[in-house]
This record gives sequence, C-alpha cells and structure tokens, in this order.
Amino acid sequence: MASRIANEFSPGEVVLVDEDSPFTIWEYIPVENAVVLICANGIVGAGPRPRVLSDSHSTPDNTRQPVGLQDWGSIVDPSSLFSLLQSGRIDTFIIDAIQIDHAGAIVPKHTNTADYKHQNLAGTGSQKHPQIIAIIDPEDDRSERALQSSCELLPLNNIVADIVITKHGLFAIQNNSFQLLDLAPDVDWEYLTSLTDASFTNRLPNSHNIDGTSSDHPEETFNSDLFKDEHGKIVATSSPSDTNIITED
Amino acid sequence: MSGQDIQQGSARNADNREVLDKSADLGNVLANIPQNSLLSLGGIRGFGSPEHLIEGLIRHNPGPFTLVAADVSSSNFGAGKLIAAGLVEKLITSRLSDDEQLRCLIEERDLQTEIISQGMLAERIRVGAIGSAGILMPEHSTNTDNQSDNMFMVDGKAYHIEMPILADTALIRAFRGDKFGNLIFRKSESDFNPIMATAAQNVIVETSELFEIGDLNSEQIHTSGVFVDSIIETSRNYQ
Repeated sequence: MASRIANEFSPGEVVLVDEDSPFTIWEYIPVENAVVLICANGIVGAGPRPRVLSDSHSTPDNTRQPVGLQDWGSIVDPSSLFSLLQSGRIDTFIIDAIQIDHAGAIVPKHTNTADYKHQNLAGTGSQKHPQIIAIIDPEDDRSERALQSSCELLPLNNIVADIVITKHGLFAIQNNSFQLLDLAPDVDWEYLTSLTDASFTNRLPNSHNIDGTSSDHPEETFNSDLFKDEHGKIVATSSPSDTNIITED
Repeated sequence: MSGQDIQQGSARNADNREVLDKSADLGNVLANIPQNSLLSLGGIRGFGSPEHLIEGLIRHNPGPFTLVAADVSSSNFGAGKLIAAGLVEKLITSRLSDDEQLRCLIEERDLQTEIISQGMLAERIRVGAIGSAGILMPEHSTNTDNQSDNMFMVDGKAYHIEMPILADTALIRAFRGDKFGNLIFRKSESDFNPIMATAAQNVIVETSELFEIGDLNSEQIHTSGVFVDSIIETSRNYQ
C-alpha cells in the first residue's frame, strides 16, 4: 500500500513526511517523478536510504535512520520549515497514525508531541491546507484494527485525514465513512472486515471486486471520478473545493 | 561530512528533473505581477537588491504597487528607482532617502508612506511568513484606559499589535542559484533577501550564477528552492 500511494504523487509535488514514514513511502517513489520529499526534521529532497554509509553520516530522519539526500536537496532550519508550511507550499502531509475514525480524526503515533507539533506541521495557519494522508503501520498485518467508528484515544483537534493507508487497504474519508478505494492482492473482504468494527463503503472497481463478481448495489460500484481531481490524483471528495476542510470541533 | 557522503543514496536522473526547473523569462514573469499588489524588494541601500528585476519591472509592468523595502536611498537604484519610475502608490520602509530629489518626488506625489524601524520591518515580514496575526509589542503610552482595537492587556501590561507583512510577490537577489530555486546569498544580499523569500506568495529571483539542478553543494544552500517560484539568470552588472 505504501508503494500504491507513492505512485499517486504528481511530478514535482511537495510532500512532508512524518517521522516514521520515510521507509514506507520514499523507497517506492519513482525517482523520475522528482517528488520533493521533506522530512519533519528539515531535510528537503529526501531520497532512498543510502546504500553505502559513512561513519560520519549525520543526515538521519527523526528515527535516527540515515536518509539519502537528492543532489538538489538541502536542509532547512525549523523556522524556515514552519514558514514553508504556513505559506502553503506543502501539497501533502503524511502523518503516522495509530487510530483513525470514520470522520478522519487522527490519533497520531507520536502522542507525546502530538497535537501542537502536528498542527504546526499541517500548516493550519496557512491559506492553503495540504492534503492529509494518514498511514497506519503498513508492516502490521492487522493494521486495520486501527480503523475505528470512534477513536478510543484523544485525536488531533484540527486535522482530519483525507486519505488513509493501512497494510491492506487504501481508503478515502467521505461523508463520515471509510471509502475503500483499493485492496492489496490476496486480501478478501471477509478478512478485512474481521480486523475492525469500523464499516466501509465499497468503492472498488468491479474488475477488482473482492469476490471477483460485479456488485449488485450501484453505490458499491467504483466511480473513480469521485475521487480523482483533474490531474488524476486521488482526492477525498468529489468536489475539489471540498477537500482538506479542517473542522474546528 | 562531505556532500558526497549524503548523496550516496540519491539517484540522479537528469532526464526527468525538468519538472523541478523554475528558470523563467524575465519579461513574462514581471509582466504578470498583478497591479495594485504588495511587492517586497530585497537588499538594503541598493546593495544586494535585484536591480535587473527592478529595471525589468519598469520596462514590462506599469504598476502601481504597494512596495515593501528596507530603505529608499536613491532614484538610481533599489526601491527609489521604482518610485522615480512612478510604479509605487504606497511605501512601507524603515528609511527614507537622503536624496533630496527623491524626497521631493515622494512629497509631490503624495505617496502614502509607512515608516517603521528596520528590526520591526524584518519581524513583521517574518511573522507574515508563518501566518501569524501579528506581533504583540509593549505599548509605551501610560494611558491604558484608552484602549484601541489593536491593544491588548497581558499580565497587566498593555501591548499593541504590529501587523504581519505577507507580500504577493517578492523580488529577490541571490549570488548563486540552481534551476530548482535553491539559493546562496553573499554579502549584502543577506539583508532582507532570505527573509523576504519566505514571505511571499510568488517569489521571483535573479542571480548571475545559475546552475543546473543538483550542481550546488547542499551544505551551502541558504534558502530552499521550495520557496521559489521563478529564477532568472542575469548579468553581473550592478554587483
């Protein structure tokens, strides 16, 4: 699924990745797409993990893992990073989450620094809000457990997810429900729903339907136009003007 | 750590990095700056100012603009040149000119002028960059009963709010840049250019040393190319 979403980024798109995201996302981004990945510690133009490490290597991400730097990359100070966010120059923000509810409320993985830090990172003071992608540990075979009808833990105040990625599925948040857009190979509906009490709306294309048959219900028929903008990029709602709305409550 | 150390993991693909290329034509970029918009201008006292962009703006755009600049020194360069050319309707600056001719021009044209300290100008630009509503500064007036809308009491002390400055367009001068917009400043170019480059919706840069993407040393970059919208190679004149 990390690979799946990595291919959704547009060439030149500016993407801020949260602390643990790097190795699940940027290892999969095609280099030719020239996506501008920014690590939360100020690395602009982060790239795949270096194949050969130097003893003096000091360009880690926040998990103390080494990160490659594109040859056009740079490192900015925290104040400049904040300016980048607040001036609306970030297109997409990827947050590591441990719980998400059907309205898109996010309980971030790093709860000790959670609310204030993530609100800053999401650029909530800017005129243009980034698209929010929440990732639930793609290495966890049962990561769908984190999809909840209501978060048990305290979610972020002002940030809601537009897109959710789990180990097995890709979801959009729309009309207070999880819209299943894509499913990993060799995973069926029964298994997915057995992992969580949250309910989904099936938006899978017929050709990829879970049991290999067409859906009897029109609303369960995948309409990709509902979820893609004019550039073919996944968005959370059918109306671009409705995307990335941040609610006050 | 050398640049080589940190670039071992990168994969350079020269065929596809044109999507990051922000090099632009001076005339097109400057002609498209909306009239009556807020324009910020880097440099100080004519040093480190984007003189080619200033000259190009006079050639390609009739204005008028509201101009934010550290100073107005002379009608021959910097912000003064834009005023002399009649492109400025309102001025926000920290220092007016010693140039008598330019001072007379400002008075004759009844230019709306807001003069603030240099430090406050920089701070207002800085908070403009982060989307803040402004800066609370101590109110020195002893009459705290007469509170205005922009006055606040904090711990029993009166403060007024200094409003942020977020430009529509910033005109920036850099010593070196690459086509992605990564910038390196030198000498007086460090005055107001770096901070203004972070506080505008549209950032236009001139540099006399424009490199291919990836040819600058990552460790020496002062301003990330993510901030920049257009970069233009100019001659070394005016340095």
